Amino acid sequence: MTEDILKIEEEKLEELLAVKFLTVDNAEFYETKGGFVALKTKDEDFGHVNVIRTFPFSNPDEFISIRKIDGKNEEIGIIENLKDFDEKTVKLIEKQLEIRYFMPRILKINSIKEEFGHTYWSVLTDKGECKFSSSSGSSGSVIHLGDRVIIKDSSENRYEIEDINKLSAKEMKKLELYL
Amino acid sequence: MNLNVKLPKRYESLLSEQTSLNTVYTVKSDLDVDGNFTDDFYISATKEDIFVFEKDSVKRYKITDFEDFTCSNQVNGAILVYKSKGEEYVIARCTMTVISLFACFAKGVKNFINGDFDKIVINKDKEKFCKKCGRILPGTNSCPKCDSKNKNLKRLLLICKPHIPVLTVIIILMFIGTALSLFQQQVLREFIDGYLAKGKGNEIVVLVFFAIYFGIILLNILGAFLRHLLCSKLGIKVADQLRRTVAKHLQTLSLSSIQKRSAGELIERVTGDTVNVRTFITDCFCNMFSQIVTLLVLVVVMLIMNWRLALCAFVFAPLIIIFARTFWPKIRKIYHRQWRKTDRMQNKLQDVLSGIRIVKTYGKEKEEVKEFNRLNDELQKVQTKNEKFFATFFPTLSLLIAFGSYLIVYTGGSEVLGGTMTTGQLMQFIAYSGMLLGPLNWMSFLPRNIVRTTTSLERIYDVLDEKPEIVSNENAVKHDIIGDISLKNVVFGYKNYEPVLDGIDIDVNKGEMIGLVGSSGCGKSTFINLIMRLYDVDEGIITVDGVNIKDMDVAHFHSQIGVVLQETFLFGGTVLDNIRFACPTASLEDIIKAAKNANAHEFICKLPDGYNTYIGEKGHKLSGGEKQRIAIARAILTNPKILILDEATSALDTESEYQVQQALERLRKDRTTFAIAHRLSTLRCADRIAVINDKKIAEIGTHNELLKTKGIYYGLVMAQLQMNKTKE
Repeated sequence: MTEDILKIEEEKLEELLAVKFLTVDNAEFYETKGGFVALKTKDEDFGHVNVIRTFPFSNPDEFISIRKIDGKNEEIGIIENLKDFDEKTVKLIEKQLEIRYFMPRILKINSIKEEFGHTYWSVLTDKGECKFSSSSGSSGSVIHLGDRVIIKDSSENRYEIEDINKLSAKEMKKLELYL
Repeated sequence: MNLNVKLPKRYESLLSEQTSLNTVYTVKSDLDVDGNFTDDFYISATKEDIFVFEKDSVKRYKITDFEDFTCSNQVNGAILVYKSKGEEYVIARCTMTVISLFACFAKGVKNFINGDFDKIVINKDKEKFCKKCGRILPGTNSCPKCDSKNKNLKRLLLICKPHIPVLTVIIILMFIGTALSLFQQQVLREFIDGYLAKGKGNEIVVLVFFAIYFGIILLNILGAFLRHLLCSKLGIKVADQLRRTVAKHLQTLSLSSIQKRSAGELIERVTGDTVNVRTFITDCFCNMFSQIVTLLVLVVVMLIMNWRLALCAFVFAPLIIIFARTFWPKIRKIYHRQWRKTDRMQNKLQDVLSGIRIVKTYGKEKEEVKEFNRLNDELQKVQTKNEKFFATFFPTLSLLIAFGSYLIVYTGGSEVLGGTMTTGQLMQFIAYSGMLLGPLNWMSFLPRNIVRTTTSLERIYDVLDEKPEIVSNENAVKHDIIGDISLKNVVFGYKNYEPVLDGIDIDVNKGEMIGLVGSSGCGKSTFINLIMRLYDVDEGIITVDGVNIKDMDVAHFHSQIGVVLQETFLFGGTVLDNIRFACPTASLEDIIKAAKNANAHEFICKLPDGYNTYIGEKGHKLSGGEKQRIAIARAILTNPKILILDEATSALDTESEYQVQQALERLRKDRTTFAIAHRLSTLRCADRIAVINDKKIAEIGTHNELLKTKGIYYGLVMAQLQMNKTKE
């Protein structure tokens, strides 16, 4: 009896460990009325699903984990490369990812001022003009990922500078002290 | 934070066209639904409707159409989602800045959906930004820019009040010092003009002048020594007083108040901020009078002596200060750059040395050396560049200072030759113009010093002004616990927007052992933190023997709880001190009994100094299991009525675990016990097991009952059986 149960469990475990890829052949993504991503496979219609980047910085469009929205958040499968899907699906998933990952890209640094132990930034981002403040002393407020820099503000929002080499000399001068 | 902000007038009139009801909640979001930054997005709730205001228009949603309304946390933001006819829709978005308000808003609307119209949600978070200027509040309630700086400086003066006699002596010494410095130059002038320039005098005159001059210098040094000593003493006394008060107050604060700030931040407030106050008192406060008086006297004396020369000096002195101050940010920048590079190099080295076993195991020595060299090269480049700057900056500054003197020498020299001025007067003048730099430079740093000190004071008083959240009520009872514990509809979250436990109901009988299981981070430890009243529940009630734990005397309640936690913490001190921590009056015999019960006596006897062995950072290193057993002995010693075991036996080897299990079984007799364990075998003697999942008690029952239901617990047992089989 116990042996049987263990065998079943072993099979379950193997199933859990296997990486299930969702491809154009076995998965169909569609949009719910409310604009969320839903998934239908050959066996099941999962309805609204969660879309999660496994490598949000290094490979944002690869290995995207698709999960159930219930409490367990169980993984249904992984999209190896978003580009393998048709344009409509790509747009749908990208829209969902845009909601899930909010990290404005800094396009221009207007000013960086330091006052009373905090740094006040005024920047132009791809999401519009924005002002935020970060703690000057905190070493965790600026994260380096090669040429990419992530700035964390006092409310734990994150802002991205895609490539610091592309900043103007004037902007670089303002930023330099915080790098 | 305010959960019902005032709508702009244009939206208020739009709202009044739609409804006569008042808004219960109004939140201003920083994003529109498309995720773009905006300053023009409000979402309001009355008891009947939701209104969304943006771009001078309003959208109305009827709450009766909603099946659900949630705040769904995203990465660095959140969305408000409503469910209608089985479909979910996004109604608003926000960044992390507003997330806690969004979560409360959703909770409030959900209450309306459920018909709880009188249950109004409150946001307990402190305001993060100044309402007037938008500046960040430095973990305090007052803005460093808008709120009066004087308030805390006044409080500092009050602390200094008992030291007025010392302060008076300091001020007198300063006046004497200033007078002596001025007089010293006067003596020199007399000597030059009266004797040297006229070729008069003899060796005795030289000796007399030398003695007077030397005497003044000696007196000045003595005065400076005394002044410095008294200033330092005063600074140290005031800082010591502040440090004691802050450290004492910290102990009285609730765990939630302490944990919302990092340990480093609190240590900084006790040590760093008080040092800033000390520096201010020593360097600024005590010097303030003397510097101002020196400056005023110098200006007057110089103007009287020779107004033309005085103007030369007045123009140059500020120029030098401005020059130095202009380069100050640059100097700071290059120091900062050098510090960062050094820091990165040191961090790398520390990382590699800490993980040297891993580096060597994977044979990555060469790569690590290469990386270190790269960081070292970067540092070297920055250092060379910085040194070049300093090599240019300081000589330039010296030249500028010298240039001022040259100008005075030139102009003054001409006057001496023209006979309108004496040589002695010129010498005196040059000395005075040099003395001008001191007070001016000091004053240029004064605003910065004041800001730094008021910020520090702000942070100190922020802690001191904070009232402990968990305190005994006025009518608190000293209840001797029997052991019946009951949790009714308990809701709790460390952050407003993230409940960890939501709707916990359980009745535990006296002497019962409840095993708590669930995945990591599901809220097991939070559950016992609430039982121990380290935090107060957000909603619901916890009673012990029918008495609300909020109505009990906190210290008396805590003295009846024994705890062995997952991360065993032992204080720096001896084994004896650590076991005795919870019950300082325990006899040595009781301590040995407790240690024996905890299976710790044997290993303690083998330690070189037995129970007096010093443990802690610099003391004897104990293994995880040994530490755990000392913690168990500590818990046994208090003879607790409620026993909390949070992974208490996780670090023990199989043999010790067996013995400790037996000890714990003896210990838990007639005591209500809550035990958390990942290893389910540890809970085999539990009367009931509660499985916590999805913020609730998902399953509860005996081991056998839970196995039969084939639910979560069954899955966990099977997984562990599988694991054991794999090990075999």
